[in-house]
Amino acid sequence: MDDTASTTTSVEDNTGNLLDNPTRDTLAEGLLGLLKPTVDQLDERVRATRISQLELKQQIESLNEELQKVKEALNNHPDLDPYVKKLIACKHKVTVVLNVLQASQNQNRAQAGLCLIRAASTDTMETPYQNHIDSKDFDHVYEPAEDSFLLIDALEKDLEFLSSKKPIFCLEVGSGSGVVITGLGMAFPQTICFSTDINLKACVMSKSTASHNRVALECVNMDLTSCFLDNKFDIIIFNPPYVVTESSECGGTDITASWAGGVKGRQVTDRLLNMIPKQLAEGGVFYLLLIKENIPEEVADIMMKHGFQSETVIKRQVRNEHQLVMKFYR
Amino acid sequence: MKLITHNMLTSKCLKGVLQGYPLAINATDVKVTEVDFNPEFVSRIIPKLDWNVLWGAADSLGHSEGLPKTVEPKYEEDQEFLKKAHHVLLEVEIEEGTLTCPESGRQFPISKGIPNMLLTEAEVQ
Ligand SMILES: C[S@+](CC[C@H](N)C(=O)[O-])C[C@H]1O[C@@H](n2cnc3c(N)ncnc32)[C@H](O)[C@@H]1O
Ligand SMILES: C[S@@+](CC[C@H](N)C(=O)[O-])C[C@H]1O[C@@H](n2cnc3c(N)ncnc32)[C@H](O)[C@@H]1O
Repeated sequence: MDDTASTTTSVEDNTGNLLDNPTRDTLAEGLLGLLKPTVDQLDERVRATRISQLELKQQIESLNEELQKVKEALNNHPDLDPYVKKLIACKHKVTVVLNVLQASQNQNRAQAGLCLIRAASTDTMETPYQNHIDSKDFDHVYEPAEDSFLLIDALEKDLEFLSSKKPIFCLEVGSGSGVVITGLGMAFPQTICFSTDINLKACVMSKSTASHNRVALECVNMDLTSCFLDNKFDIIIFNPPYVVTESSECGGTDITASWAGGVKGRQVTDRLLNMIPKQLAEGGVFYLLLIKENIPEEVADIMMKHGFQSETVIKRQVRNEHQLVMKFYR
Repeated sequence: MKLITHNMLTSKCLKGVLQGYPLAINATDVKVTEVDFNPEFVSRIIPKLDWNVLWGAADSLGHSEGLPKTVEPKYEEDQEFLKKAHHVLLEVEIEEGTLTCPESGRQFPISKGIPNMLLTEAEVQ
Protein backbone atom coordinates (compact mmCIF):
# COMPACT_ATOMS: atom_id res chain seq x y z
CA MET A 1 0.00 0.00 0.00
CA ASP A 2 1.08 3.50 -0.74
CA ASP A 3 2.24 5.10 2.47
CA THR A 4 1.76 8.75 1.52
CA ALA A 5 -1.03 10.01 3.72
CA SER A 6 -0.03 13.35 5.19
CA THR A 7 -0.33 12.20 8.79
CA THR A 8 2.14 9.38 8.32
CA THR A 9 4.49 11.61 6.38
CA SER A 10 4.85 13.94 9.30
CA VAL A 11 5.60 11.04 11.62
CA GLU A 12 8.28 9.87 9.19
CA ASP A 13 9.79 13.31 9.14
CA ASN A 14 10.38 13.16 12.83
CA THR A 15 11.51 9.60 13.25
CA GLY A 16 13.41 8.70 10.11
CA ASN A 17 12.86 5.35 8.41
CA LEU A 18 9.76 4.35 10.24
CA LEU A 19 8.52 2.53 7.18
CA ASP A 20 10.44 -0.67 7.86
CA ASN A 21 10.55 -0.07 11.51
CA PRO A 22 9.43 -2.92 13.75
CA THR A 23 8.79 -0.31 16.44
CA ARG A 24 6.06 1.12 14.26
CA ASP A 25 4.35 -2.25 13.92
CA THR A 26 4.50 -2.80 17.64
CA LEU A 27 3.19 0.70 18.12
CA ALA A 28 0.36 0.10 15.66
CA GLU A 29 -0.51 -3.16 17.35
CA GLY A 30 -0.43 -1.49 20.72
CA LEU A 31 -2.65 1.29 19.48
CA LEU A 32 -5.03 -1.17 17.94
CA GLY A 33 -5.14 -3.10 21.20
CA LEU A 34 -5.92 0.13 22.98
CA LEU A 35 -8.62 1.19 20.52
CA LYS A 36 -10.30 -2.11 19.95
CA PRO A 37 -12.06 -2.43 23.33
CA THR A 38 -13.41 1.10 22.91
CA VAL A 39 -14.64 0.40 19.41
CA ASP A 40 -16.15 -2.89 20.57
CA GLN A 41 -17.82 -1.11 23.42
CA LEU A 42 -19.11 1.57 21.06
CA ASP A 43 -20.40 -1.10 18.75
CA GLU A 44 -22.12 -2.84 21.65
CA ARG A 45 -23.74 0.44 22.68
CA VAL A 46 -24.85 1.16 19.14
CA ARG A 47 -26.40 -2.29 19.06
CA ALA A 48 -28.19 -1.72 22.35
CA THR A 49 -29.42 1.65 21.14
CA ARG A 50 -30.69 0.08 17.96
CA ILE A 51 -32.59 -2.54 19.90
CA SER A 52 -34.23 0.10 22.04
CA GLN A 53 -34.99 2.13 18.93
CA LEU A 54 -36.66 -0.90 17.42
CA GLU A 55 -38.69 -1.30 20.59
CA LEU A 56 -39.58 2.37 20.45
CA LYS A 57 -40.67 1.93 16.86
CA GLN A 58 -42.92 -0.97 17.84
CA GLN A 59 -44.32 1.10 20.67
CA ILE A 60 -45.03 3.92 18.26
CA GLU A 61 -46.82 1.55 15.95
CA SER A 62 -49.00 0.12 18.67
CA LEU A 63 -49.66 3.62 19.96
CA ASN A 64 -50.78 4.46 16.47
CA GLU A 65 -53.24 1.56 16.46
CA GLU A 66 -54.56 2.55 19.87
CA LEU A 67 -54.98 6.12 18.71
CA GLN A 68 -56.89 4.95 15.68
CA LYS A 69 -59.25 2.99 17.94
CA VAL A 70 -59.61 5.88 20.35
CA LYS A 71 -60.34 8.15 17.43
CA GLU A 72 -63.09 5.87 16.16
CA ALA A 73 -64.55 5.42 19.62
CA LEU A 74 -64.54 9.15 20.15
CA ASN A 75 -66.47 10.14 17.08
CA ASN A 76 -69.30 11.31 19.26
CA HIS A 77 -67.08 13.11 21.77
CA PRO A 78 -65.75 16.06 19.81
CA ASP A 79 -64.42 17.72 22.95
CA LEU A 80 -61.71 15.08 23.26
CA ASP A 81 -60.65 15.45 19.66
CA PRO A 82 -57.92 18.05 20.33
CA TYR A 83 -56.22 15.66 22.74
CA VAL A 84 -56.20 12.87 20.23
CA LYS A 85 -54.79 15.27 17.65
CA LYS A 86 -52.10 16.29 20.10
CA LEU A 87 -51.16 12.67 20.69
CA ILE A 88 -50.98 12.04 16.97
CA ALA A 89 -48.77 15.09 16.50
CA CYS A 90 -46.58 13.85 19.33
CA LYS A 91 -46.31 10.49 17.63
CA HIS A 92 -45.22 12.20 14.42
CA LYS A 93 -42.51 14.08 16.24
CA VAL A 94 -41.13 11.00 17.95
CA THR A 95 -41.11 9.17 14.64
CA VAL A 96 -39.13 11.88 12.87
CA VAL A 97 -36.60 12.08 15.68
CA LEU A 98 -36.28 8.32 15.69
CA ASN A 99 -35.55 8.28 11.98
CA VAL A 100 -32.97 11.01 12.28
CA LEU A 101 -31.33 9.15 15.15
CA GLN A 102 -31.28 5.96 13.14
CA ALA A 103 -29.71 7.72 10.21
CA SER A 104 -27.02 9.25 12.41
CA GLN A 105 -26.43 5.92 14.15
CA ASN A 106 -25.67 4.31 10.83
CA GLN A 107 -23.10 7.01 10.27
CA ASN A 108 -21.56 6.62 13.74
CA ARG A 109 -21.24 2.94 13.16
CA ALA A 110 -19.67 3.44 9.77
CA GLN A 111 -17.35 5.99 11.32
CA ALA A 112 -16.33 3.61 14.09
CA GLY A 113 -15.64 1.09 11.37
CA LEU A 114 -13.59 3.66 9.53
CA CYS A 115 -11.53 4.40 12.65
CA LEU A 116 -10.79 0.72 12.94
CA ILE A 117 -9.71 0.56 9.32
CA ARG A 118 -7.49 3.59 9.82
CA ALA A 119 -5.93 2.15 12.96
CA ALA A 120 -5.29 -1.20 11.35
CA SER A 121 -3.64 0.07 8.22
CA THR A 122 -1.67 3.19 7.45
CA ASP A 123 -2.72 3.17 3.83
CA THR A 124 -4.59 5.90 1.99
CA MET A 125 -7.13 7.98 3.90
CA GLU A 126 -9.45 8.03 0.92
CA THR A 127 -11.72 5.07 1.45
CA PRO A 128 -15.02 4.73 -0.39
CA TYR A 129 -16.78 5.14 2.97
CA GLN A 130 -15.40 8.60 3.45
CA ASN A 131 -17.47 10.38 0.84
CA HIS A 132 -20.61 8.72 1.98
CA ILE A 133 -20.02 9.68 5.61
CA ASP A 134 -18.86 13.16 4.73
CA SER A 135 -22.03 13.86 2.83
CA LYS A 136 -24.21 12.99 5.81
CA ASP A 137 -22.21 13.57 8.91
CA PHE A 138 -23.27 16.04 11.55
CA ASP A 139 -19.73 17.41 11.41
CA HIS A 140 -20.91 19.11 8.25
CA VAL A 141 -24.62 19.59 8.83
CA TYR A 142 -26.31 21.22 11.80
CA GLU A 143 -27.42 18.52 14.21
CA PRO A 144 -30.99 19.02 15.44
CA ALA A 145 -30.85 20.73 18.82
CA GLU A 146 -33.19 22.49 21.24
CA ASP A 147 -33.74 25.33 18.78
CA SER A 148 -34.86 22.90 16.06
CA PHE A 149 -37.33 21.33 18.47
CA LEU A 150 -38.59 24.68 19.70
CA LEU A 151 -39.49 25.53 16.12
CA ILE A 152 -41.27 22.19 15.73
CA ASP A 153 -43.10 22.86 19.01
CA ALA A 154 -44.16 26.29 17.80
CA LEU A 155 -45.60 24.83 14.59
CA GLU A 156 -47.33 22.13 16.56
CA LYS A 157 -48.84 24.70 18.88
CA ASP A 158 -50.17 26.52 15.82
CA LEU A 159 -51.36 23.43 13.99
CA GLU A 160 -54.98 24.48 13.99
CA PHE A 161 -54.20 28.01 12.83
CA LEU A 162 -51.97 26.60 10.11
CA SER A 163 -54.49 24.09 8.86
CA SER A 164 -57.14 26.81 8.71
CA LYS A 165 -54.92 28.46 6.10
CA LYS A 166 -55.16 25.38 3.90
CA PRO A 167 -51.51 25.65 2.94
CA ILE A 168 -50.41 24.39 -0.48
CA PHE A 169 -46.73 25.34 -0.60
CA CYS A 170 -44.52 25.29 2.52
CA LEU A 171 -40.88 26.34 2.62
CA GLU A 172 -38.13 25.91 5.15
CA VAL A 173 -35.15 28.18 4.62
CA GLY A 174 -31.89 26.66 5.90
CA SER A 175 -33.35 23.22 6.52
CA GLY A 176 -30.11 21.60 7.79
CA SER A 177 -30.87 17.96 8.63
CA GLY A 178 -34.46 18.45 7.47
CA VAL A 179 -36.19 17.48 10.74
CA VAL A 180 -38.41 20.53 10.94
CA ILE A 181 -39.76 20.59 7.39
CA THR A 182 -40.19 16.82 7.47
CA GLY A 183 -42.26 17.18 10.62
CA LEU A 184 -44.36 19.83 8.92
CA GLY A 185 -44.77 17.66 5.83
CA MET A 186 -45.98 14.80 8.00
CA ALA A 187 -48.47 17.03 9.76
CA PHE A 188 -49.73 18.34 6.40
CA PRO A 189 -49.63 15.55 3.84
CA GLN A 190 -51.72 17.71 1.52
CA THR A 191 -49.00 20.27 0.88
CA ILE A 192 -45.87 20.42 -1.18
CA CYS A 193 -42.80 21.04 0.92
CA PHE A 194 -39.73 22.90 -0.27
CA SER A 195 -36.43 23.57 1.42
CA THR A 196 -33.34 25.58 0.70
CA ASP A 197 -29.92 25.53 2.27
CA ILE A 198 -26.68 27.22 1.35
CA ASN A 199 -24.84 24.07 2.41
CA LEU A 200 -25.16 21.33 -0.21
CA LYS A 201 -24.58 18.60 2.37
CA ALA A 202 -27.55 19.92 4.32
CA CYS A 203 -29.71 19.71 1.19
CA VAL A 204 -28.69 16.11 0.67
CA MET A 205 -29.42 15.21 4.30
CA SER A 206 -32.77 17.04 4.28
CA LYS A 207 -33.84 15.09 1.23
CA SER A 208 -32.91 11.80 2.81
CA THR A 209 -34.54 12.62 6.16
CA ALA A 210 -37.74 13.45 4.28
CA SER A 211 -37.72 10.33 2.18
CA HIS A 212 -37.00 8.21 5.27
CA ASN A 213 -40.31 9.56 6.53
CA ARG A 214 -42.08 9.27 3.19
CA VAL A 215 -42.35 13.02 2.79
CA ALA A 216 -41.74 14.33 -0.72
CA LEU A 217 -39.40 17.27 -0.25
CA GLU A 218 -38.11 19.54 -2.97
CA CYS A 219 -34.62 20.71 -1.94
CA VAL A 220 -32.77 23.48 -3.67
CA ASN A 221 -29.21 24.55 -2.90
CA MET A 222 -29.69 28.32 -2.79
CA ASP A 223 -29.10 31.46 -0.81
CA LEU A 224 -32.24 32.07 1.30
CA THR A 225 -35.16 32.34 -1.19
CA SER A 226 -33.30 34.29 -3.86
CA CYS A 227 -34.29 32.12 -6.86
CA PHE A 228 -38.00 31.58 -6.16
CA LEU A 229 -40.77 33.48 -7.92
CA ASP A 230 -42.83 35.87 -5.81
CA ASN A 231 -46.08 35.17 -3.94
CA LYS A 232 -45.85 31.39 -3.80
CA PHE A 233 -45.46 30.22 -0.22
CA ASP A 234 -48.22 29.89 2.36
CA ILE A 235 -45.86 29.00 5.20
CA ILE A 236 -42.19 29.93 5.49
CA ILE A 237 -40.07 28.87 8.45
CA PHE A 238 -36.48 29.70 9.40
CA ASN A 239 -34.16 28.69 12.20
CA PRO A 240 -31.30 30.97 11.23
CA PRO A 241 -27.65 31.10 12.15
CA TYR A 242 -28.31 33.28 15.20
CA VAL A 243 -25.07 33.36 17.17
CA VAL A 244 -23.55 36.86 17.48
CA THR A 245 -20.18 36.68 15.74
CA GLU A 246 -17.71 38.80 13.82
CA SER A 247 -19.26 39.98 10.60
CA SER A 248 -16.49 38.26 8.66
CA GLU A 249 -17.51 34.83 9.99
CA CYS A 250 -20.77 35.13 8.10
CA GLY A 251 -21.24 34.05 4.51
CA GLY A 252 -19.71 30.58 4.47
CA THR A 253 -21.41 27.59 2.89
CA ASP A 254 -20.15 24.97 5.34
CA ILE A 255 -21.04 24.17 8.97
CA THR A 256 -20.11 27.72 10.04
CA ALA A 257 -23.18 28.91 8.11
CA SER A 258 -25.35 27.02 10.59
CA TRP A 259 -24.47 29.26 13.54
CA ALA A 260 -22.47 32.35 12.50
CA GLY A 261 -24.97 35.20 12.54
CA GLY A 262 -22.66 38.21 12.40
CA VAL A 263 -23.73 41.54 13.90
CA LYS A 264 -26.51 41.01 16.50
CA GLY A 265 -26.63 37.45 15.14
CA ARG A 266 -28.99 38.92 12.55
CA GLN A 267 -26.96 39.43 9.41
CA VAL A 268 -28.50 36.49 7.59
CA THR A 269 -31.94 36.89 9.15
CA ASP A 270 -32.22 40.56 8.19
CA ARG A 271 -31.60 39.74 4.55
CA LEU A 272 -34.47 37.25 4.64
CA LEU A 273 -36.79 39.72 6.41
CA ASN A 274 -36.59 41.92 3.33
CA MET A 275 -37.50 39.04 1.03
CA ILE A 276 -40.46 37.74 3.07
CA PRO A 277 -43.06 40.32 1.92
CA LYS A 278 -42.56 39.26 -1.70
CA GLN A 279 -42.15 35.53 -1.10
CA LEU A 280 -45.28 34.94 0.96
CA ALA A 281 -48.54 34.23 -0.82
CA GLU A 282 -51.62 36.16 0.19
CA GLY A 283 -52.52 35.20 3.75
CA GLY A 284 -49.12 33.60 4.20
CA VAL A 285 -47.32 33.31 7.53
CA PHE A 286 -43.65 33.34 8.50
CA TYR A 287 -42.14 31.63 11.57
CA LEU A 288 -38.72 32.70 12.80
CA LEU A 289 -36.59 31.43 15.65
CA LEU A 290 -34.57 34.05 17.52
CA ILE A 291 -32.56 34.46 20.69
CA LYS A 292 -32.66 37.45 23.02
CA GLU A 293 -29.35 38.79 21.67
CA ASN A 294 -30.99 39.14 18.24
CA ILE A 295 -33.25 41.86 19.73
CA PRO A 296 -36.66 40.45 18.74
CA GLU A 297 -38.32 43.88 19.24
CA GLU A 298 -36.22 45.26 16.42
CA VAL A 299 -37.25 42.38 14.19
CA ALA A 300 -40.90 43.08 14.99
CA ASP A 301 -40.31 46.73 14.04
CA ILE A 302 -38.74 45.84 10.72
CA MET A 303 -41.64 43.54 9.92
CA MET A 304 -44.18 46.14 11.00
CA LYS A 305 -42.68 48.52 8.44
CA HIS A 306 -43.28 45.77 5.87
CA GLY A 307 -46.92 45.68 7.01
CA PHE A 308 -46.75 42.58 9.19
CA GLN A 309 -48.17 41.91 12.61
CA SER A 310 -46.03 39.84 14.93
CA GLU A 311 -46.63 37.49 17.80
CA THR A 312 -44.39 35.41 20.05
CA VAL A 313 -45.56 31.81 19.74
CA ILE A 314 -43.30 30.12 22.26
CA LYS A 315 -40.27 30.85 24.47
CA ARG A 316 -37.76 28.66 26.22
CA GLN A 317 -34.54 29.02 28.10
CA VAL A 318 -31.86 26.54 27.16
CA ARG A 319 -28.89 26.82 29.51
CA ASN A 320 -28.00 30.51 29.16
CA GLU A 321 -29.74 30.99 25.83
CA HIS A 322 -33.20 32.58 25.67
CA GLN A 323 -34.84 31.19 22.54
CA LEU A 324 -38.18 32.19 21.08
CA VAL A 325 -40.25 31.67 17.95
CA MET A 326 -42.08 34.61 16.45
CA LYS A 327 -44.68 34.53 13.73
CA PHE A 328 -45.47 37.27 11.23
CA TYR A 329 -48.61 37.71 9.18
CA ARG A 330 -50.42 40.54 7.40
CA MET B 1 -36.37 18.08 -8.87
CA LYS B 2 -40.00 17.95 -9.86
CA LEU B 3 -41.49 20.18 -12.53
CA ILE B 4 -43.53 21.98 -9.87
CA THR B 5 -40.20 23.35 -8.61
CA HIS B 6 -39.03 24.28 -12.08
CA ASN B 7 -42.27 26.26 -12.37
CA MET B 8 -41.20 28.44 -9.42
CA LEU B 9 -37.47 28.89 -10.09
CA THR B 10 -35.92 31.97 -11.68
CA SER B 11 -32.42 33.28 -12.24
CA LYS B 12 -33.45 36.91 -11.84
CA CYS B 13 -31.04 37.20 -8.92
CA LEU B 14 -28.24 37.27 -11.52
CA LYS B 15 -26.80 40.70 -12.19
CA GLY B 16 -28.32 42.17 -15.36
CA VAL B 17 -31.06 39.55 -15.67
CA LEU B 18 -34.64 40.87 -15.73
CA GLN B 19 -36.96 37.86 -15.77
CA GLY B 20 -34.70 34.81 -15.75
CA TYR B 21 -37.79 32.76 -16.40
CA PRO B 22 -38.44 30.07 -17.41
CA LEU B 23 -35.14 28.29 -17.06
CA ALA B 24 -34.38 25.97 -19.97
CA ILE B 25 -34.12 22.32 -19.00
CA ASN B 26 -31.49 19.93 -20.18
CA ALA B 27 -31.96 16.57 -18.47
CA THR B 28 -29.63 13.60 -18.71
CA ASP B 29 -31.46 11.48 -16.13
CA VAL B 30 -35.21 11.62 -15.58
CA LYS B 31 -36.99 9.41 -13.08
CA VAL B 32 -40.71 8.73 -12.83
CA THR B 33 -42.07 7.69 -9.43
CA GLU B 34 -45.65 6.95 -8.57
CA VAL B 35 -47.29 9.44 -6.23
CA ASP B 36 -50.81 9.00 -4.81
CA PHE B 37 -53.30 10.85 -6.98
CA ASN B 38 -55.51 13.34 -5.17
CA PRO B 39 -57.72 15.21 -7.67
CA GLU B 40 -58.82 17.82 -5.15
CA PHE B 41 -55.25 18.71 -4.26
CA VAL B 42 -54.10 18.89 -7.88
CA SER B 43 -57.06 21.20 -8.61
CA ARG B 44 -55.84 23.54 -5.90
CA ILE B 45 -52.31 23.64 -7.30
CA ILE B 46 -53.31 24.47 -10.90
CA PRO B 47 -54.20 28.15 -10.29
CA LYS B 48 -50.82 28.67 -8.57
CA LEU B 49 -48.90 27.61 -11.70
CA ASP B 50 -47.67 29.12 -14.89
CA TRP B 51 -49.29 26.55 -17.16
CA ASN B 52 -47.39 27.54 -20.30
CA VAL B 53 -44.12 27.02 -18.50
CA LEU B 54 -45.26 23.66 -17.15
CA TRP B 55 -46.32 22.55 -20.62
CA GLY B 56 -43.00 23.63 -22.11
CA ALA B 57 -41.04 21.85 -19.37
CA ALA B 58 -43.05 18.64 -19.81
CA ASP B 59 -42.57 18.88 -23.55
CA SER B 60 -38.82 19.32 -23.29
CA LEU B 61 -38.70 16.05 -21.31
CA GLY B 62 -40.97 14.23 -23.76
CA HIS B 63 -43.85 14.06 -21.27
CA SER B 64 -46.35 16.44 -22.90
CA GLU B 65 -48.39 13.82 -24.72
CA GLY B 66 -52.09 14.35 -24.02
CA LEU B 67 -51.35 17.41 -21.88
CA PRO B 68 -53.50 20.31 -23.14
CA LYS B 69 -51.73 23.58 -23.93
CA THR B 70 -54.31 25.59 -22.04
CA VAL B 71 -56.36 24.97 -18.91
CA GLU B 72 -60.12 24.70 -19.55
CA PRO B 73 -62.51 26.63 -17.25
CA LYS B 74 -64.01 23.55 -15.58
CA TYR B 75 -60.75 21.69 -15.19
CA GLU B 76 -61.60 20.52 -11.65
CA GLU B 77 -64.17 18.14 -13.09
CA ASP B 78 -61.90 16.68 -15.73
CA GLN B 79 -60.31 13.60 -14.11
CA GLU B 80 -58.24 12.77 -17.18
CA PHE B 81 -56.77 16.25 -17.26
CA LEU B 82 -56.06 16.24 -13.51
CA LYS B 83 -54.30 12.89 -13.79
CA LYS B 84 -52.02 14.19 -16.53
CA ALA B 85 -51.31 17.36 -14.57
CA HIS B 86 -50.59 15.26 -11.46
CA HIS B 87 -48.17 13.14 -13.47
CA VAL B 88 -46.09 15.97 -14.91
CA LEU B 89 -46.14 18.04 -11.73
CA LEU B 90 -45.38 15.42 -9.13
CA GLU B 91 -44.25 12.17 -10.70
CA VAL B 92 -41.63 13.25 -13.23
CA GLU B 93 -38.32 14.13 -11.58
CA ILE B 94 -35.05 15.38 -12.99
CA GLU B 95 -32.18 13.61 -11.27
CA GLU B 96 -29.28 14.91 -13.35
CA GLY B 97 -29.04 17.76 -15.82
CA THR B 98 -28.80 21.51 -16.04
CA LEU B 99 -31.06 24.54 -15.93
CA THR B 100 -30.07 27.45 -18.15
CA CYS B 101 -30.85 31.13 -17.63
CA PRO B 102 -32.76 32.29 -20.74
CA GLU B 103 -31.07 35.69 -20.73
CA SER B 104 -27.47 35.15 -19.68
CA GLY B 105 -26.94 31.51 -20.58
CA ARG B 106 -25.60 30.82 -17.08
CA GLN B 107 -26.03 27.14 -16.29
CA PHE B 108 -27.17 25.68 -12.99
CA PRO B 109 -26.36 22.01 -12.46
CA ILE B 110 -28.89 19.55 -11.07
CA SER B 111 -27.20 16.70 -9.27
CA LYS B 112 -28.88 13.87 -7.32
CA GLY B 113 -32.14 15.72 -7.86
CA ILE B 114 -30.88 18.91 -6.19
CA PRO B 115 -30.50 22.05 -8.31
CA ASN B 116 -27.52 24.20 -7.41
CA MET B 117 -28.64 27.83 -7.65
CA LEU B 118 -25.71 29.30 -5.71
CA LEU B 119 -24.12 32.37 -7.27
CA THR B 120 -20.72 33.92 -6.76
CA GLU B 121 -20.65 37.36 -5.18
CA ALA B 122 -19.73 38.92 -8.52
CA GLU B 123 -22.84 37.44 -10.14
CA VAL B 124 -25.38 38.85 -7.67
CA GLN B 125 -27.55 41.90 -8.45
C1 LIG C 1 -27.66 27.54 16.44
S1 LIG C 1 -26.80 26.59 17.60
C2 LIG C 1 -27.71 26.41 19.08
C3 LIG C 1 -27.51 25.04 19.65
C4 LIG C 1 -28.32 24.72 20.91
N1 LIG C 1 -29.27 25.67 21.25
C5 LIG C 1 -27.36 24.53 22.05
O1 LIG C 1 -26.88 25.54 22.61
O2 LIG C 1 -27.09 23.39 22.38
C6 LIG C 1 -25.60 27.70 18.01
C7 LIG C 1 -24.69 27.13 19.01
O3 LIG C 1 -23.65 26.49 18.36
C8 LIG C 1 -22.53 26.56 19.22
N2 LIG C 1 -21.33 26.40 18.41
C9 LIG C 1 -20.94 25.25 17.85
N3 LIG C 1 -19.80 25.39 17.23
C10 LIG C 1 -19.44 26.68 17.38
C11 LIG C 1 -18.33 27.44 16.96
N4 LIG C 1 -17.33 26.90 16.25
N5 LIG C 1 -18.31 28.75 17.29
C12 LIG C 1 -19.29 29.30 17.99
N6 LIG C 1 -20.34 28.62 18.42
C13 LIG C 1 -20.42 27.33 18.13
C14 LIG C 1 -22.62 27.86 19.95
O4 LIG C 1 -22.23 27.69 21.27
C15 LIG C 1 -24.10 28.21 19.87
O5 LIG C 1 -24.72 28.19 21.13
C1 LIG D 1 -29.32 26.81 13.00
S1 LIG D 1 -29.23 25.85 11.50
C2 LIG D 1 -30.89 25.18 11.43
C3 LIG D 1 -30.99 23.86 10.73
C4 LIG D 1 -32.36 23.20 10.80
N1 LIG D 1 -33.37 24.04 10.20
C5 LIG D 1 -32.73 22.94 12.22
O1 LIG D 1 -33.58 23.63 12.77
O2 LIG D 1 -32.18 22.01 12.80
C6 LIG D 1 -29.23 27.09 10.21
C7 LIG D 1 -29.25 26.53 8.78
O3 LIG D 1 -29.34 27.61 7.86
C8 LIG D 1 -28.47 27.39 6.78
N2 LIG D 1 -28.12 28.69 6.19
C9 LIG D 1 -27.30 29.64 6.68
N3 LIG D 1 -27.25 30.70 5.86
C10 LIG D 1 -28.07 30.42 4.81
C11 LIG D 1 -28.43 31.12 3.62
N4 LIG D 1 -27.94 32.34 3.36
N5 LIG D 1 -29.28 30.53 2.76
C12 LIG D 1 -29.78 29.29 3.02
N6 LIG D 1 -29.47 28.59 4.13
C13 LIG D 1 -28.63 29.13 5.01
C14 LIG D 1 -27.30 26.66 7.40
O4 LIG D 1 -26.54 25.95 6.44
C15 LIG D 1 -28.02 25.75 8.40
O5 LIG D 1 -28.39 24.52 7.81
